[in-house]
Amino acid sequence: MTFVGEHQTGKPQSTVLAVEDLSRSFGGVPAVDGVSFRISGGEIVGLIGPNGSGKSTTVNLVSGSLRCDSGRILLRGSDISNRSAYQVARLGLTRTFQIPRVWGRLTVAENLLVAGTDVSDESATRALTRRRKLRQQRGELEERLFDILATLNLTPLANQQAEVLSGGQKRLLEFGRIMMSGASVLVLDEPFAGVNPVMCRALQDIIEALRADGCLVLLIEHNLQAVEETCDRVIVMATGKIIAQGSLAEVRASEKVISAYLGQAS
Amino acid sequence: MIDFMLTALTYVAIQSVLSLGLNLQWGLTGLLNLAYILFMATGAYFSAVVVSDPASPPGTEYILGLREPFLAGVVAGVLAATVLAVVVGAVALRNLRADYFAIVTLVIAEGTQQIAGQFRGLFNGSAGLVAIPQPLETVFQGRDYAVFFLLLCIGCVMVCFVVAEWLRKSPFGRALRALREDEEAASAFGRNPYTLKLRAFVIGASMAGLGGSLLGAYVTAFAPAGWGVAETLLVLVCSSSEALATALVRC
Amino acid sequence: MEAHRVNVLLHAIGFGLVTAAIIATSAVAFSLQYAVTDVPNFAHGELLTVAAYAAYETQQHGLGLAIGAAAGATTGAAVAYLMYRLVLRGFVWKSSRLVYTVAVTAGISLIIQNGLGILFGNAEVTLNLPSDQARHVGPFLWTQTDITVILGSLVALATVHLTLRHTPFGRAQRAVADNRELARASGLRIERVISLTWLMAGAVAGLGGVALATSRSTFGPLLGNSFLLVTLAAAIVGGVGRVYGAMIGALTIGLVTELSGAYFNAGYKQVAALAVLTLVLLVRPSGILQVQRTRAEA
Repeated sequence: MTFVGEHQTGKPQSTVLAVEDLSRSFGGVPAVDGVSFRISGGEIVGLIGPNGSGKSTTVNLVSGSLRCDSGRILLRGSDISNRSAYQVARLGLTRTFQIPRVWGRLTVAENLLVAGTDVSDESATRALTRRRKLRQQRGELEERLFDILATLNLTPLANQQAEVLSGGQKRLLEFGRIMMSGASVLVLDEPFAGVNPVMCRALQDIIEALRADGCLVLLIEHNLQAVEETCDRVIVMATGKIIAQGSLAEVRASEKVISAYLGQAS
Repeated sequence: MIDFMLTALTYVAIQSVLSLGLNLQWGLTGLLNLAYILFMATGAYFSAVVVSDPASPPGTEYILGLREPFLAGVVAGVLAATVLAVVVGAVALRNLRADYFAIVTLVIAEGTQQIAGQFRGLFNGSAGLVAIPQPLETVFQGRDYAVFFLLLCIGCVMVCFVVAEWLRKSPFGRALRALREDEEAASAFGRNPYTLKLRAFVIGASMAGLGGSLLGAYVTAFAPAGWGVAETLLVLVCSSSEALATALVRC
Repeated sequence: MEAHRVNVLLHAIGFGLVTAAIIATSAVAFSLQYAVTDVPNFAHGELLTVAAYAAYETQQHGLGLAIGAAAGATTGAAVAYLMYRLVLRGFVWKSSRLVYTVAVTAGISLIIQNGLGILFGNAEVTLNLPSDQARHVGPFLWTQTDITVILGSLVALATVHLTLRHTPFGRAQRAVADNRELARASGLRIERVISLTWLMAGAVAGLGGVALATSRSTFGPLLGNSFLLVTLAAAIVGGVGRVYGAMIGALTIGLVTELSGAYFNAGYKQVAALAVLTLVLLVRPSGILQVQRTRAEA
C-alpha cells in the first residue's frame, strides 16, 4: 500500500528492475539491440511497438526464457542475466504468455496449489515422511486459495480441469496463480489479447490491485486504449531499439513513434 | 489350472511393479523413456549375480557371484538400477526437449543391450544368465512355492503402489504433473524442470530395478534378447494415463 | 616396432574415415529430415535397408554399382516420401504427441524389416563387389570401394550443403526448421517443403544405405536397424537437428569407434560410441553445435 502512496506523491522510487544495454540477435539479425530501462516498485509500465520490434524478445530475456548476448538485467540489484527462468522466478519475477498457459489436466484449485507451494516442500522424501505436515499445509493453502478463487469468480470451477476453461477464465487463473505465488515482479505478454471488454476491465482491476500490493508490472500490449487506462508510462520499441519513453500522450506526439507505426502500416 | 493361475498372477504382479515405475516417469511426468527396460534388466542382472554361485568359466562367465541371500540381491538390483538412472538421467535430461530425451534414451537402450550381449565376462553375453537361485527354494516345494512367490510379488506391488500413490498426491507429484502439462509455465513459477524430472526418473527406475529382480528370480533366467526397445514401447502405448489403476489393470 | 604402431594407427584412421563417411550420410539425412519436419523417425534405418536391397536387386539384373546407387537413392526417397504422405502426415497434423510418432515410426520399421524378409528371405544376401586390392592413398590404405564411398558421400554432403545454403528451396527448409509458424506467416508452402524434405532426406539416406551395404558386402533385413545406433549417436553428438553438427558427430563417432576397435577389440565399438555420447552430453547438453534456446519448451 505504501508504494501507491509514494508513487502518487511523486517521490522518487527505488529501482527494482533495471535493464542495461541488453542485446540479443538471432542468426545475425539483432532482435533486441542495446535496450536500457528502469522500473520502480509499484509501477505499471507498457511496452509497445509495431510487430517485430523486439518486445517479445525483451520479455523473454527479462524472464529468463532466453539468454542475452550482452548487457545486464538487474533484479533488486542482483544480476539475473544468466539465470534460468526458474531461478528468476524464485527471486519473485514471474511471467504470463501471449496465449494463456494453464496446467490443463490439473484442476483449477491444483493450478493455484502448485503456484502457492513452497518449492522445498516438493521433495520426494517429504512426500513419504512428512505426510501429516504436508496435509496441514495444504489446508492452510486452501484457505488462501478459496479467497483468491472468490475474487476471480472461479469458485464454482475449482474442481474442474483447467483445460475446459474459456480463454478469459484461463487468463483469470493465470492471475490467480500469480497472486498465490506472491511474485512481486510481473511480466505480462499481451494480457488483454482475445478477451472481451468486460473481462478486459476485470483484468485491469486485478492488475491495479496487484500494484496496490506493491507489485511491479511490465506489460506488452497492442490495445492502446487498455494501455492508456492501465499504464503509468510506456516504453516504445522499434527494430530492437527503444525510440521513446514517457506517458502515452507524450510518446504519441513523438515523430519517431509516428514514423515507426506508419512504416508498419504502409 | 491352479498352477496356471498362480503363474499368470505372478507375472501380473511383476508387471504391475514395472508399470508403476513407468507410470511415475511417463504418466505423471511425461518422460518418454525408451530405455525403461534397461533398468529392469539392470535389476535382474545385478540381483542374479549377487545371489548366484561364482561363475564357472568357460561354460558361463559373469561378474561377482557372491552367493548372498535373496534380499541382498534385490537390494543390489534396485541400487544398481538407481545408480544407473542417475547417470542416464543426468546425461539425457539436461537438454530439456522431450523428443531429444526419447532419442537419447533409445540410443542408450540399444547400445547397452548390445554391450551386454557382446561382453561375456559381464553377464554371460548373449546367452544370458540361467539357473538363477530362487529365494527360500528349499523351504517350500511345488505349489506351496508358487503361492509363496506370488505373495512375495504382491507384497512388492503393494509397497510400490503405496509409494507411488503417496508421491502422486503430494506436492511433489503435483509439481511433476504441472511440469508434464506445461514446462515453461512451471519454470515461470520457480519449478526446476531438470531436478524434478531427474527425481521422477530415478524413482521410476528403481521400481523397474525391483521388478527386474523379481522377474529374474521367478523365471530363473535372463538374456539380452528379452529387453528390446519394442518391449518398452508396448508397455508405453498401453499405459499412457496417469491413473494408477489403469497401469495395474493394463497388464 | 614404432613403424608398425604408426601403421596400425593410420590404418584405423583410414577405416574410421570410411565409416565416418557412411555415418555422415545417414546422420545428415536423419538430422535434415528431423530439423525440417519435426518428426524423430525411428524407421530411419529401414530407408538404408531398402536402398541396399534396391542396389542388390539391380545387381541381380546385371547392372553396375553406379546404377545400384542411383536405384538405392530413388528407392530411399520414394519410401521416405510414402512413409510421410501415407502414414505420418495424418499423425503429425492430428496429434503432436511424441509417443504416437515414436510408436508409429517404430511400427513402420518392423513392417519394412519383415516385408523385406518375406521378399528377399531373412538370410543375408551378398553384394558382388569388384575385387580390388587395397592401396596407399596418401598415408591411408584404401580399396577402390572405400574411395568411392568417401567421394560419393562427400558429393552427397556437398549437395545437401549447396541446396541448404544457395537455393530458394534450401532457404525455405531453413525457415521451416527455424520457426514453422513464422515461415507459414511469411507465405511459405510448408506442406510442400516438408514433403520434399522427406524426399531429399530419403535419397541421401538411400545413398548411405548403398554405401553401408558395399562396406559390409553381405547384409540382411536388419542392416539399417543395426546402423541406427551409430547414426543417432552421431546426430546427438553433433546436436540433434543440426545438419552440419551431424557431419562433425559422424567424424567423431566414426573415428572413435574404429580406433577403439583397432586398439582393444571390436566389441568395444559400442562402448566407445556410448562413452563419447555420454561425455559430449555431459559437457554440452545440446551437442557440439548448441541448439539456440529460442523456445524453452518443446
